[in-house]
Amino acid sequence: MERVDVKTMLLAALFTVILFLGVYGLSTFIGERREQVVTEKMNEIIEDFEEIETTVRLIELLSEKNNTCNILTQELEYLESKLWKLDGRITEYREITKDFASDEFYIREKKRLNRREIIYMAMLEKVKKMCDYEQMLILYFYGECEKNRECDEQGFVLSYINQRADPEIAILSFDADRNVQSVNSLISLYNITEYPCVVVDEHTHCGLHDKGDMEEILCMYSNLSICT
Amino acid sequence: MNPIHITLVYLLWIIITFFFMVIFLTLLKNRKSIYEEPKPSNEQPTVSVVVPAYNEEGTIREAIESLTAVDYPKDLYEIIVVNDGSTDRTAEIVSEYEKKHNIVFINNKENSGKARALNMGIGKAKGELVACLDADTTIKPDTIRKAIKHFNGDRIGAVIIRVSVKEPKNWLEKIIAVEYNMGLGFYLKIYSFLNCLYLTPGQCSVYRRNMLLEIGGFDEKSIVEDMEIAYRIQKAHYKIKCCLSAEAHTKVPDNVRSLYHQRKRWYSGSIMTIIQHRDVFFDRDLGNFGLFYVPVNYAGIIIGLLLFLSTIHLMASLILQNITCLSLVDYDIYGVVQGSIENLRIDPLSINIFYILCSTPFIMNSLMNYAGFKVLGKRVRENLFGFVCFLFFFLPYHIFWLMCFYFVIFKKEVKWRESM
Repeated sequence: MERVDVKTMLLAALFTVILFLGVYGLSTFIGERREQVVTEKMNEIIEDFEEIETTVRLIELLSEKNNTCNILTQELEYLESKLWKLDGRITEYREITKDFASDEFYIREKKRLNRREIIYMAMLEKVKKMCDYEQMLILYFYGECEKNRECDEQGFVLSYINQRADPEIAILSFDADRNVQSVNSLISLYNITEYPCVVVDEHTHCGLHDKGDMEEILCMYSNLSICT
Repeated sequence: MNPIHITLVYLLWIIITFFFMVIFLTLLKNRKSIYEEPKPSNEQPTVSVVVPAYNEEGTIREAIESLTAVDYPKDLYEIIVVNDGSTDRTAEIVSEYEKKHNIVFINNKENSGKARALNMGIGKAKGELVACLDADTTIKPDTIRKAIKHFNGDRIGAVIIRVSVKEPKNWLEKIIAVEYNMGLGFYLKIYSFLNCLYLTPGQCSVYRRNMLLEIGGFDEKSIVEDMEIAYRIQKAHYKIKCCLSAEAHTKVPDNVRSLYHQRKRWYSGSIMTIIQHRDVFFDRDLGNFGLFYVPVNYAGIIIGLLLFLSTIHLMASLILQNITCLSLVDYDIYGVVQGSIENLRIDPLSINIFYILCSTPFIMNSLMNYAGFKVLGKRVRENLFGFVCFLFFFLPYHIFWLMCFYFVIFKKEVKWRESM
């Protein structure tokens, strides 16, 4: 009977486990850093909201609006881009995490982001009236993305449009699967029955829309630069 | 990613890491005895060298000349050349040397295959030890002397030597040169420490003649007779030793077509051999060979192939999805790329455990190859191209393995030699 090199095999198994724990530890560390970054960004956004809210109150007090309105609209545009980027980051980090660890944190943050987006929407409407500000708001609702590939496809088209029409448009995306009360209210308000679905200027357009369709819809309600 | 893909990533990582750890620890443990040569016995054994040749007019002369220059007493040494029904000038060339160097020449009119030619040569051999040499391979004058020192025990059935590529010139030969240095040099030496050598390279290996007769010589049905015989040597509880200081130089495929034919034979033959000798799996009597090498190696190959297929599927879906997305924006690739560049951010936090798991075997492989080069006294700088490309050679390997599984499962005929 031949000898089995038990000592070498056991040591190799031990080192394999140690290396795996090292990799797992590194991954956990990176995961924690990701969560930290998302939390920091979310806090930044909350601060920005506070700042905008204060500016709005200031405008209500002041008779001279022009300068303050300019600052306010710039802040809003900047906030919108922050919301958009954080949304992308949360989606990306969740994708990276969910195969190997719990994605609860990102689901929770997405819910918080959706609530912030609704506050943004309300603020935007207020500022539009106060400052005669023109920005087209697109609400993008998606759901059941694990099964429905059209979610990603519609997201791709909207990103493309956003690049070309920024800052004339603001896109807010809402995950219908997260059961956020305020998002559900919007869903019933706009009578959304299927996903993906976009609401432009209070009008609901459900189903997948390509670049041509989207531009047609947008140009129906506003004279954007991409319409010429 | 689907759960199957993720499971395969974990499984393959564990197998590869465990395998590299075993190799690394064995290297560490035996680092001082890699080139250690046993003390020569007082009596020198008689040695016969058998050279089977089929249409080798371009290389046989060099092979015979290297054999005639061997530093070994002439009365203890014989050369047997078996012409296996060559249709070129091989027989004529061997005849020139037959009388001049007292070569035993067996001239078959019909081509009967390498294993049969070897068995015929072994049948005629008078030596206690029989070295088998490919007709496109040359040895150094001290190769035989160095190799036979390792027959220092009754149960040592074979000694294999290091096989290197003869003057690698083009890109493929340079990559294969690294592969041979590692696969037919460094790793075989490590396996010999673990006593789990699965191969006695056909290019040049030395066998104890009595053992060959006991196990019935080479399997004439096998297309990888050098691997098949190693399994039987292991099963007969003989040991196979590896002598790294003894060297042979061989020719290797210099184009993709030849490589394809070579690998088709090697990998199909490996699958056939493992099916033929499936009883070696987890055979406790075979020690490391049955409990470590065979299960770990074949689990690695099978899981690697499944992961390869799963990755292809994943990538195909991704490409398809991207094409669909592009079609939705009228294939405005310029606009999409421009947007991607504008929004590009290098985020180290995007690295997930999957990338780390995939990169560690790659890093371990690079380090092991580097260690292998050091052990073999080679410099990476000398063949940096081959060294780097060899790290990515797993891609064509997987394609070859997949094809060979297809050939074996669907019983497609694979010949030792295919018409080019």
